[in-house]
Amino acid sequence: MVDIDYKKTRKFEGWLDLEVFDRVSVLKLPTYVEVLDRALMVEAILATKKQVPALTTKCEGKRSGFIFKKGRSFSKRQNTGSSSSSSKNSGSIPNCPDCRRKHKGTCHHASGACFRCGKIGHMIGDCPLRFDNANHLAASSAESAPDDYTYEERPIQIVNRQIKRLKNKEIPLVKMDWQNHGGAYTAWETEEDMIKRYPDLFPLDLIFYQNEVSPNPSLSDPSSLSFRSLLNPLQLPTQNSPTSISKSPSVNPIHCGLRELRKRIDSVKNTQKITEAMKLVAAAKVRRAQEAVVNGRPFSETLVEVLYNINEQLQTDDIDVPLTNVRPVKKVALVVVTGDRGLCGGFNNAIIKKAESRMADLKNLGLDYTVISVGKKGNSYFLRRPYIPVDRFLERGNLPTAKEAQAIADDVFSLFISEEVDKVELLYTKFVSLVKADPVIHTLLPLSPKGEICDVNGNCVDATEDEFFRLTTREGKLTVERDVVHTQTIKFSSILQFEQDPVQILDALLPLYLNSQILRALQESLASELAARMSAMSNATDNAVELKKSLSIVYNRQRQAKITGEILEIVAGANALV
Amino acid sequence: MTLNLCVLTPNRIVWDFEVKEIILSTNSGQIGVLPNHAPIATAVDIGILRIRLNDQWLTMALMGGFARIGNNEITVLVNDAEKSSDIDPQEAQQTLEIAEANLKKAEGKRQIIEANLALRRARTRVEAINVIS
Repeated sequence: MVDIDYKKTRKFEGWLDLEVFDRVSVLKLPTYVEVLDRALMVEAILATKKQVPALTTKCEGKRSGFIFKKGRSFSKRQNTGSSSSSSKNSGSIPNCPDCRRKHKGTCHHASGACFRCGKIGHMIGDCPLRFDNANHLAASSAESAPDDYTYEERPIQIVNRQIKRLKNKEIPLVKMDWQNHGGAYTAWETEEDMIKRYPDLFPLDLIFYQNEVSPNPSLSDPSSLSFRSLLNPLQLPTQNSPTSISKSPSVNPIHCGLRELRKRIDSVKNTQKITEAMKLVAAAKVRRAQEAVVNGRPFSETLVEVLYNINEQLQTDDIDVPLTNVRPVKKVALVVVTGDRGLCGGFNNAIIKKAESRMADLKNLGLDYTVISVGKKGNSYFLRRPYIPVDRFLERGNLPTAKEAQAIADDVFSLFISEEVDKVELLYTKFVSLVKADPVIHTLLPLSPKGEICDVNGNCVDATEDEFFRLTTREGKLTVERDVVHTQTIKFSSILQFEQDPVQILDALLPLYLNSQILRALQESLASELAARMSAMSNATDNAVELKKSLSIVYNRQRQAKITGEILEIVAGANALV
Repeated sequence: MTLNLCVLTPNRIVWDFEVKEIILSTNSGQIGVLPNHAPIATAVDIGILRIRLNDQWLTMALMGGFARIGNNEITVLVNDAEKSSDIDPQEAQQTLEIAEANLKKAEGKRQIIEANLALRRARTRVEAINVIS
C-alpha cells in the first residue's frame, strides 16, 4: 500500500516543471498529497519572483559583501567600518515575516533561490556574482590589506638547551618557543641552524663563536645587546659562554625510545643477515678453493715424484743450477701474501705483523730487504708506509691460478737470477684448521736440490708429503679435514735416459716446482682467509643474535611499561570521573 | 701398442688421451715420439707441441717444463698449456707486439730476462696458431 503511494509520488514528480521539480524532489516527500502541496507553493513563488528581478539584484550587492566578510574571520578587522554601517542600515529594515531576518526585496527563504541574484539552481555560496563583488571588495580595501595572509613563523625565545652526544660529535640543541603557537608548541632545533636564521635570539659571544669570519658590527653594539636581553628576559641564564655549555655535565643516560629500539633491532637484523650470507659465501668458496687444490694434485704429485727420482740419481753428481745457488746473503726479498678484503678477523693483521717482525729481524742482522706484496690489503698497508722498500705490488683474483703464481714466480726468478737478491722468503698463512691458521715463513730461493723447503726455523717440509684440506660436513656443521698424503714413489726404470744434461733438466723442473710452491701458498692463504672470514662472520652472527635478543627484551619491557602506564591513566581518569 | 699422452698444468689436466704421434720441442731441439719409444726424461722448452690423432694434427703452446717418456706413457709437466684452438689470434698478436716493444725498452739484466721470457711466450702462442699442418 505504502509502496504504491510512493511510486505514484515519484511519478508525479517526474511530470512536474523542471524548475519546480528541482525544488520538490530534494525534499523526498513520502506522500503524493504533500508533493502536490509543495509543488503548488513553488510554482507560486516562482511566479512572484519573476516579477521583481531588478529589485533583488540591486539590494543583494550590499548584503553579499557583508556575508562574505562574516565568512572570513581574518578580514573582519579591516572591514569593521562597513559592517557597522550595514548593522546601522539593518536597524531601519523590518524583519521579514517569512525568515525573521532583516533584508530588502523578496524573501528567497521559501523558494530556496540564491540570496544574491535570486536565481534558482544555486545557493549564495556558489553565486557567480559573488566573486565579482569579492574582487571589487578586495580592490577597494587594497590599501589596508596585505598581499597575502601568510606570516613568518619565528621563535620568540629559547626555552631550553641540550647537547646531544653522538659517537664522535656533539650537537648542541635548543628548544624554541614559537611565536604563533601560544607556548604550546616547542621543538628541539639544532643550535647552529637557529643561530643562522635568528641570530638576535642568541647571546653575542655564541654568534661570534659560530661565525668567526665576519662578525656583524651592529651586533657588537652593547646597546643592541641590552635591548635584546630586555626583549628576551628568559634567555639571560643562557648568556654564559658556549664552552661552559658544552662542558656542562648534561649526562643523559642512553635512553632509547620505542622507535629507536625498533630501528636498532631492524638494523641488527639486517647486519645479521649480511654476516650470515658472508659466512655462507665464505664456506662455498672454501669448497671451491679445495676443488682447485684437488685439480692441481695430479701435477704436483707427478712433479714431486719426478723430482724425487731425479734427486736420487743426481745425489752423487756435483750439480750447479742457478736456482740452487747459495750465495752469501746481502739482500732478502719477502713475498707477503695477504688477502684482498677485510672482515676476516685478524687474518691480514697477523701476516703483516709477521712481516714487520721479520723485517725488524733482518734489519738487526744488517741485511737489506725488499717486499713483494701480494693482495690488496698488503698493498694498501705498504703504500701507506713509504719507508718500506717495495719491489712490486701484485693483486690476486678470486681463486689463485697458475698465472698469478707465474707472475710472482717470474718476479722472484728475475730478482734472484740477476743477483739483486740472494734469498727469497715467502710469508703466507698456513692453513691448519678451520679455526687455526699460522702465518709462516718459507724460503723459496735458493731451492735446495733435494726438493726440500726449510723455513727459517729449520723445519723441513718434505716434498713427498703433500697436505691438502677437505671441507666436510660433520654433524651438520662445516669442518675441514686436513690430510697428509704420502705419495708413493714409483722407481724410474733404471734404463731411463736423460735427453739433456741432468743440470738442464733440473733447470726446467725447479721453476715448475717454484711455481707450484707459490700456487700452494696462495691456495693455503686463500683457504685461511676464507676460514678466518667464516669464523669471524659466524661470531658476528652470534653477536647479532644476542644483541637482537637483549634489544627485544628491552623493547618488550618498554612497550609493556607504556601499555601499563596508559591503562593506569585510563583507570585514574575513570576514577576521577566517578 | 697405443701411446698415451698426459699434459698437466698446476691448474688442471689439459690433455689425457691416446695419440698416434707427437712432436715435442725440447731444450735440445724437436723430437718426434712414436709408440714404443725408449724411456727418456727431457726438459721442455717454451715452444709448440704437435699431436697427431689418426690423420689430424693438433698444436698446443707449452710454456716450458718437463717431459717423461716411458712404457708408452708420455707425461708432460708444464707451467701453462694452451690448445691452438683456444688462443685468440688477435690477442696473441697484440701480446707479441707489446712484448717486442718491452724488450726494446728493457734496461738492466733483470728487465731483459723478464722481457725475453715474455717475448718467447708470446711468440710461441702466435706460432701455435700459424703452424702449417
